[in-house]
Amino acid sequence: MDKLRILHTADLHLGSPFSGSGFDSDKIKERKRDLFECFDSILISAQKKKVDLLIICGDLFEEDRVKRSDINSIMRSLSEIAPIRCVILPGNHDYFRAGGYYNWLHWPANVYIFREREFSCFVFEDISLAVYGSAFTSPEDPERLIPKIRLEDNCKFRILAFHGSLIVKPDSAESYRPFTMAELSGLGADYIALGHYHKPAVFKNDKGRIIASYPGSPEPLNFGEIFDHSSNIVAIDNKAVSIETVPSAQRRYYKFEIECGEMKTAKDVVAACRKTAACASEKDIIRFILEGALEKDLQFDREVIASELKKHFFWVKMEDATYPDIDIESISREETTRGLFARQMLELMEESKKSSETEKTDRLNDALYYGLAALDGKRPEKR
Amino acid sequence: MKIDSIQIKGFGLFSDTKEIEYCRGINLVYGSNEAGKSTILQFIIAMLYGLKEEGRQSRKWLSEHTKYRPWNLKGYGGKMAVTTDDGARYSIVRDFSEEADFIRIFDDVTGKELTDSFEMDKTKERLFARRITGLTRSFFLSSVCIRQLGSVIGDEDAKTIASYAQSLIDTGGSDITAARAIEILMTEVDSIGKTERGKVFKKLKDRQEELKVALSRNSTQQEEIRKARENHSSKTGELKLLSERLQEYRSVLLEGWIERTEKKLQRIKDLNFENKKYSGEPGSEGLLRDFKDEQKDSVVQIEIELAQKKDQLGRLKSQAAEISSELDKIHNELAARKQFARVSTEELEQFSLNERRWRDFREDHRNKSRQLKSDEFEDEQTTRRLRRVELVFSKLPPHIDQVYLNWERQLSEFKNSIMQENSVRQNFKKSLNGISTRIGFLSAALAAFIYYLLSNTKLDEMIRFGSAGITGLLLIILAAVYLKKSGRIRTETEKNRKFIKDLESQNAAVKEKIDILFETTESKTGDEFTAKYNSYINLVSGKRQAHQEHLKEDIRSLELRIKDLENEMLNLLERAFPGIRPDKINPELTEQYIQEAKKYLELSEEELMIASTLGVKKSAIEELSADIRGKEAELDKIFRQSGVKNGVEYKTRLEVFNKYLKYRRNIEEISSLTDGGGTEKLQGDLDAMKDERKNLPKTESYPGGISESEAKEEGEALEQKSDKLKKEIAETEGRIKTMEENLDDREVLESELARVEEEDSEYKKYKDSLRVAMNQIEAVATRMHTRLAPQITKISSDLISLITDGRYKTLKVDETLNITVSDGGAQAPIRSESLSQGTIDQVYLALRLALAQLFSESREILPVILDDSFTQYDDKRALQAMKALERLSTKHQVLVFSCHRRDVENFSKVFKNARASRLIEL
Repeated sequence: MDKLRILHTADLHLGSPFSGSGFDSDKIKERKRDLFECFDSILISAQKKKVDLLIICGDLFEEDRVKRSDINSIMRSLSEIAPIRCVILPGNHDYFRAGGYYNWLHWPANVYIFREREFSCFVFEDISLAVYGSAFTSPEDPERLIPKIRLEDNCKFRILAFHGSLIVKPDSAESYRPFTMAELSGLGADYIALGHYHKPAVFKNDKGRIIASYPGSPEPLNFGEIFDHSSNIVAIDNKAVSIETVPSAQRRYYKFEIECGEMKTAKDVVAACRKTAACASEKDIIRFILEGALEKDLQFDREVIASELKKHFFWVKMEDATYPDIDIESISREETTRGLFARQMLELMEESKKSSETEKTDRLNDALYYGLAALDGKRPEKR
Repeated sequence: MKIDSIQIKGFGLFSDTKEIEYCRGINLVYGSNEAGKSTILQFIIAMLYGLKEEGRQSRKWLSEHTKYRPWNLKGYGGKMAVTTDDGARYSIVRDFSEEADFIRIFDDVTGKELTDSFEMDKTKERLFARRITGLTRSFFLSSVCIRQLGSVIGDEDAKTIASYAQSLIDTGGSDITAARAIEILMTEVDSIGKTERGKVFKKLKDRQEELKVALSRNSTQQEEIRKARENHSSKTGELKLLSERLQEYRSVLLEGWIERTEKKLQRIKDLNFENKKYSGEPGSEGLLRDFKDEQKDSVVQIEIELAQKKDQLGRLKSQAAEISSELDKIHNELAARKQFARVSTEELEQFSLNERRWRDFREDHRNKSRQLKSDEFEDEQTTRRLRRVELVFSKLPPHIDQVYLNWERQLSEFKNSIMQENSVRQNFKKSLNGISTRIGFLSAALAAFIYYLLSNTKLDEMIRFGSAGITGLLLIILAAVYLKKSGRIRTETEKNRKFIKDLESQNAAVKEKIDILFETTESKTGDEFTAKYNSYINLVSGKRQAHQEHLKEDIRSLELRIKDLENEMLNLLERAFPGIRPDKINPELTEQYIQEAKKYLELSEEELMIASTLGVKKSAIEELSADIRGKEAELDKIFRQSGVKNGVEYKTRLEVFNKYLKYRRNIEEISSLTDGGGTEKLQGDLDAMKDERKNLPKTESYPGGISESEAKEEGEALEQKSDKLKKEIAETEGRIKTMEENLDDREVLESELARVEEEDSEYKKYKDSLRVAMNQIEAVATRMHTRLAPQITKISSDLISLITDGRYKTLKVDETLNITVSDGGAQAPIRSESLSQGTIDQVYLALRLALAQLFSESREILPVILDDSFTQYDDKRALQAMKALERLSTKHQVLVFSCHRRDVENFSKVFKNARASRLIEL
């Protein structure tokens, strides 16, 4: 065999609870289904592209979250892609454990699971391929494992599957098997299939040859993942490694900032949001941040706006960063208690900004507005 | 700062141009309602501060903008000229129309535009007034722009002054004080826990706790599931091992089963083959049909008995024949012996007599010979001993008697010497007792003497010394006597001991010799020795020899008589038992002969016994023969009854029938071999087993050398274990499934918790921020009040002195902004609550102006504007106020707007001669 084609994916996080997403339970269920559809789409790609091997480099599922029935469907799907073989490397979310699904269940015959923390190797003689890997056996593992590996086989192709954090400074402390690019480039593997980072990245050596890649999460999991999501089809021959990406995301995440300074009603805000998010489809998940100075006593009901917008999108997260239309500077110039209070608060905010205490700054900012409202004889409104 | 003039070009009801000039002292702008005095006041304020909301970031018109928009819309603005305290003169030109909306500022002297030198706020308003007056619009309106002096209702005045001052200091003119603001914030903080919102919050917290508990339960459930799965895995592994083990045993069992089944099949084959032979006898079953079952049984029974009896009869007959021949032999023998017995009886009787005598002689002979031998032996012993005594004697003194006597004497001497020694020792003991007594006596005397010395202490020393010396001397003498006596006794004792020693050595010499004598004669005592000595004497005398000769003679005679008797007995024996002649008489042998002879005579008894046995046998034979005949008759009867001619036919029939039975038994055996399932099934089973054996997975550890029964036993045990395990695994699986099904929907819980926590955290943040605001306001207000109080006191004291024309010299404001006034003399300061209404007005005015001056960044003396301030005053109070303004106008420009004629009159009265006053009537 001259050329080897593998489908490299990782970090599917099947069963993820989407905690912190703010989704209601129905949406969570739907998002969980999305993950499985994404997984199935990857398997279909593997079949269509006629790959020799599927490698899943960690966090295929979230062991504590995924249900038995989900695992059954994962196993069935994997068995259906036979004769394509699938190598699974347990990551920090699905680490290999007694009583765990990898250990407890009988996985299909075409699935090869790394079961030990020490590096081990699956050799596929018919395609002269050796795949090395080391399973996570605990939720965290700060040890630098890469220097321990030895590639000893007679195969034509050698692949290392690894789940861990790429670090720039060699002495940085990291909880998930840190490694440096220098460590990888000296290994002698034809390709290093990485997992753990959700943002895709491809790494080349000095000669411009691809040596490793993070395919990233095939499905975005939160608003921090606003980028393209896909899996990698990696073609390896004697001369070079090439990567083709296969999009897999079922939905996209967006973030829009809406200037509300001139707006009078929630309806205005909804209209502005829809206009701004015209590029997003109703399948997408949007985060709107309302900004600008609002007229005194004017406050928009975020929930009303969000529920209106949710009719047009899969999910909407509303954040209110508006502020009352008060000229703090002007007030702070007053020689009154109020002026002195404003100055004092601005100074405190300045200090906390300097020490990058964002939350404290926000609180002080809120306190300033609450104080000014009270000094204006008004009951403060929670921001 | 002074307002020099205004030029209105469209503002409120002044749609055309309206110009007014003001003097630098006091100006009264008088006009009826709707004449436009409020418009002029608003125009002045608008020219200074514009018509946009202060302190905002967005451009927002004040309500006044609409209110004062002129109806004809020719223009909306005007011009105002002001002079600052330092003499600078400015012209302000404004257009308030939304389209134009500008302010331009010029140097009124040079005409140079200065607009850009004044900065803009976020609403693009040039901060001209802020710089010139140094006050914000609201502060300006609250301090120097006066709508009412003091209060409308007199009794609230004092409080109003304090809170007015506070609000002015704290918020620059709104009615809100820092304390009020703190109160508002506090109420809000409290409301989080108390009001409706608080209840929601409480519910939120409760729900949060519930959710946390639910999540923790969920975690426990998950852990349980994981453990159950672990347990399931280990059991499945165990089961797998068990199954392998079971297969091993199964293979052993299969071997056995196959072997047995093959044997069974072979046996079936043989049986079938055999039955081919038997099955060709049709009607076999009916051959003995007429035989009733009990008859068949009887035939069998009788035949068995018959056979037994015939056998018994045969044996008896042969025994009888043997006995008969034996009896014949005995008859012959007996006849011969009877003849012999008659001849021998006499001789044997004689022989018995002789034999008794022979025995007596032999006994006598034996005794005498023994006596002789014993005597001879004794003599020999005695002679040997005496020879040894003689040998001792030869070494002793010539006369043994004397030696012996000497030995006796020495022995008695020795005894004496022992007794003597004892007496000497006793004497010595006695003398020792004597000495002890004496020394005791002397000791008593000495004691008396010492007593005497102690009781007469007055004696002089010489006498006491002498007495002691005499006592010592006496003791020495006594000691010497004792020593002498003691030496004598010792010498005597020494002598005795030597004597005893001599005696002992003599005794030892004698004893040695006596020991030799005793040893030689084997004697233990002196008497024994004497006896042995005497026997020696007897021997010497030869008395014994005659006795022995006599004994020898007797023995010889006895020997001759025994010889004769023996000869006679031998003859008798020969006669009794012809042909037997023993060499000598042996009593045992003879007895044997005699017994033999007696036996011969007893043969007849044996004959009788055998004959009787023969008789018994013969009668038994007869009895048995009768029995056989009976049985045969019985059989014949049965045969006849059953249609069988005779035994032969019966036997023929029986043979066929038996073959049939055999056939049936074979069929039954085949059925039992196949367990009723048939040969084909058995063959099928065998094939299946062989297949199974062939297909059994080869494991490396088949048990070697294990027997089938062991395999079966262990296999069954394993099977049970395996079944148990399977059951447990199924149970575990069921449990896991149930647990998985019952597992709470963690995501729902978590998403709800996240929402609850987010809200909780927001409320927390809200509360924190409110507290921060509260604390900061409180701290800042305290600081402000503390810092400003002395300054307010200073400026307002000057003003109160000016306004009251020196009646009050001090207006003191303390740190909590409480107000007191005093005349500067001995009179105690008066608290504001106790002041008259007129004074309160003055205090109020002084305080306003003081604060305006204090808060003015530019420290300008600002114009004081009064807008219908005296409307509700009575005449006296209104006049008093006007007088106060007169005094104030020497420092501040005063603009009074009024619609009351009374104010014009008062103004005229008070300012009739004043140059710096102007009455402007609209």
